Amino acid sequence: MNALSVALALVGLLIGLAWLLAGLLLPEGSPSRAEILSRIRTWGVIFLFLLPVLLAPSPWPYVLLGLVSFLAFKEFITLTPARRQDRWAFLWAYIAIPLQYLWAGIRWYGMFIIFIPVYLFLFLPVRMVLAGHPKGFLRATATLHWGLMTTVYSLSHMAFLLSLPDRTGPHGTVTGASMLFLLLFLTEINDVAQFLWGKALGRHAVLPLVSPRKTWEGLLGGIGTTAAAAVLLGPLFSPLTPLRALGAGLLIGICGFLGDVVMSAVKRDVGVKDSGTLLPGHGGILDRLDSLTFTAPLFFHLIFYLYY
Amino acid sequence: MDALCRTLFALAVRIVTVFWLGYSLRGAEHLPRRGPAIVIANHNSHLDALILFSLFPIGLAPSISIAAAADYFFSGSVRRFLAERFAGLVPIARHGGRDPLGPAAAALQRGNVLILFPEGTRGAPDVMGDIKPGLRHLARRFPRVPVCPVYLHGPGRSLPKGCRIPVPIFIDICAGAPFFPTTDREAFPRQIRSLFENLRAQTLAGLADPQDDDDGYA
Repeated sequence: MNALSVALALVGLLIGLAWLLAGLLLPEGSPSRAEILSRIRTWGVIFLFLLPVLLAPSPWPYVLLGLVSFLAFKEFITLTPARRQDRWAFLWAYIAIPLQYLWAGIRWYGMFIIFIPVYLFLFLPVRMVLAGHPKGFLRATATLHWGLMTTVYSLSHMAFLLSLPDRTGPHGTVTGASMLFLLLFLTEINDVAQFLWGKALGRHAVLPLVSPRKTWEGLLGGIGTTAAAAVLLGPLFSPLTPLRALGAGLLIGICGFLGDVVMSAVKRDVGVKDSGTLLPGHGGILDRLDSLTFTAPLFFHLIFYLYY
Repeated sequence: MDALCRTLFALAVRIVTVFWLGYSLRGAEHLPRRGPAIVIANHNSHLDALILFSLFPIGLAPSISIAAAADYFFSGSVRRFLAERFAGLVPIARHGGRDPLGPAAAALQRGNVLILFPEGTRGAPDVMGDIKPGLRHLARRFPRVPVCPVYLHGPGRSLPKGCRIPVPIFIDICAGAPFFPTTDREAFPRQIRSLFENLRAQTLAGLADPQDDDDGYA
């Protein structure tokens, strides 16, 4: 039994326990009961989905993570207004998803890191200009590329983290899968902790116009919780020493929040509440992935810079 | 044999509507569970019929009929074979004929669910075209058959008229309460039109940001 399997078993147990406790403690018929139960159930589904991502042999983790990007990009495209003549550019952007995950799977770092920011950045506007409509051109190209950068490029750093070769950490060998687990666990615990601290103590909104429910109390409590979790878990699942793990925890705590409010601003701009309906109790898949669009590339580059 | 073809078709359609596109449906309880019944929807895309078709359980697939333009879907023997055997299309002769609604009426008589587009043809996305009298004639012949209105938001953007590959986007669907259309020539188009206006407003309101930002976690 390695540390990753033990940790996954514990997380599974934790979700099950939360579901049981919520079911027992919340009064029957209270308005929040169904909402909270469905939210915890969806956490269970996300957990089950992540098991093969972390444990299955290649290429399955890449296929599954690519599917996540596909759903997230589709949700983004659904939200944003588009010009009819850009259909082909959109279809080409979709084709970029399997390619980006292929580069991650075959560990072709040079291609992985420039494919979307350089090649697609140049190619997609060309495809759009060939359609021959300059009106709304900048808005259309910028929207499409922003969607690709967040939902495909940023998130695909999870896949490249998975491809990183083993390293010796403070407590023995760590793998790409264990580092991906660390990233996912810290990002999601940060989301939950900021929410719970905010519910318990929240008074002062950080950005009232973007997201009135995100408070300083929640933010600071969440960052503290995440940093503590990082110090405990970082040395077990990554090459990070406790001090560096503290830095990683602070990074994930702060940038997870930033990713969340940036996506909230997008939703506000297009005038929707949730990005979709894919995850009952959470909203759309982007509502759950918003912080990861920031933490995945930043955590990856921290690890990559320090140890590879 | 026919039932098998229709079931296979229903499975294939789901790959497109569930995986490639994906949809969310409100008012599922309004959809008919058995025939005879008529389901009507706004029409902007070839995807419309496929999406409506996949809202029903696979077991029901053999008893779902889709009203389709005879001149388009029933021209040529291969097309005709596929349309009849696999997709369960029933031809509507758009340019007259003795009994243009004959096959559709026969389907209802067999107890099928009939999918019908009152606009008759695909229009521009989010713009309701003229309401054709076909539905009114059917309602007069089958006064006890309920009609369920459905609004589709998205197919016209994914696969507009004249395009071949659907762009993956999520489709929002809103089904309204079943009703019995008026048979009055004047009132009928107004009734259908205002029904769809309402459903459209409901669909868009369901997506909107109600100022209360309860988007879950911080």
